[in-house]
Amino acid sequence: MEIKDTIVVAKDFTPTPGARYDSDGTKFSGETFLKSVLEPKFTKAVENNYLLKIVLDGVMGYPSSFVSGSFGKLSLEKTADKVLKHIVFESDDNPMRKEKIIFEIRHPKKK
Amino acid sequence: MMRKIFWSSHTVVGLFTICFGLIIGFLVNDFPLIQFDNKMKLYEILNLFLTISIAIIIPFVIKKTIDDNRAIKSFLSDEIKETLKELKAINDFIKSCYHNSTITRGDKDSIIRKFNELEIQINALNQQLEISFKSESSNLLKELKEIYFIYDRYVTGDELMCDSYQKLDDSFYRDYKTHYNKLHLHLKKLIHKIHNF
Repeated sequence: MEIKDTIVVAKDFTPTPGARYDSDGTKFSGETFLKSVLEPKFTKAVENNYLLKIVLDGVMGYPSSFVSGSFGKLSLEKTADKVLKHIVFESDDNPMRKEKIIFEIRHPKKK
Repeated sequence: MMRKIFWSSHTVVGLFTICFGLIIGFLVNDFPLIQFDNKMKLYEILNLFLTISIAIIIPFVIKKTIDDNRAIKSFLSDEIKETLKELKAINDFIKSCYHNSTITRGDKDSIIRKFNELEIQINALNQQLEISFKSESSNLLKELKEIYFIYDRYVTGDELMCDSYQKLDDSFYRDYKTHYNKLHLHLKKLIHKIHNF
């Protein structure tokens, strides 16, 4: 499958990801990222059968709450296999981020 | 000038070699204290070569391999100690927030940054272990990452990241210590396990 779309989290969303929900008080929550950026692009990638690349660099860090509220929730809604089939991650700054997000996709926290 | 040439190290070594040769020749010819047997059996020749080979292999190959291995293990132990330092930095920070009975947005951002540093260190350890002991370390690394992800999930995955959460309570801190101790102990055990590879 070919990569046809890219999300650069630091540029397309924020360099300071926050908590899980908007109601948690932070401006850039996982919920907002899921609704406004991730889900629309992921749906297009699934419909047109291509890969969506997500660049994780340039961000101060990814709190688990953000990862769970976005990637974890997407996994619960669409299944882990489907998410990992259409999304690839890239991180030169900290490759552990990729593993952390993949761990969350495979073992999503139900909340 | 003549004195300098006569007493140079080359002259002394040369003279010493000539004298040594004369003594050996004198002993062998006039006083056959050592008698050589001109007939040799095949196994004796093989034995001689085997002895020479062992004499060369032990210091140059086996000892070198053991020394290199020890140096790599020592270096990896230092990497684990660095990881423990990053983990301790997180623990000290959370401990101070707990004792101060307050946690601000800035403190939470600091925690996220410190977790990022710890992840970078775990990644460095992971990559180096894969270079030297890939098969031996694969399960240990998998286990380490899982324990780390659960620790990270506990600290940055729930109420602590909410703006309304402004004080670390006893229940949070007690469970936090359990997760911290588990990761801390796992890293310490890893030092011993690496030395057993």
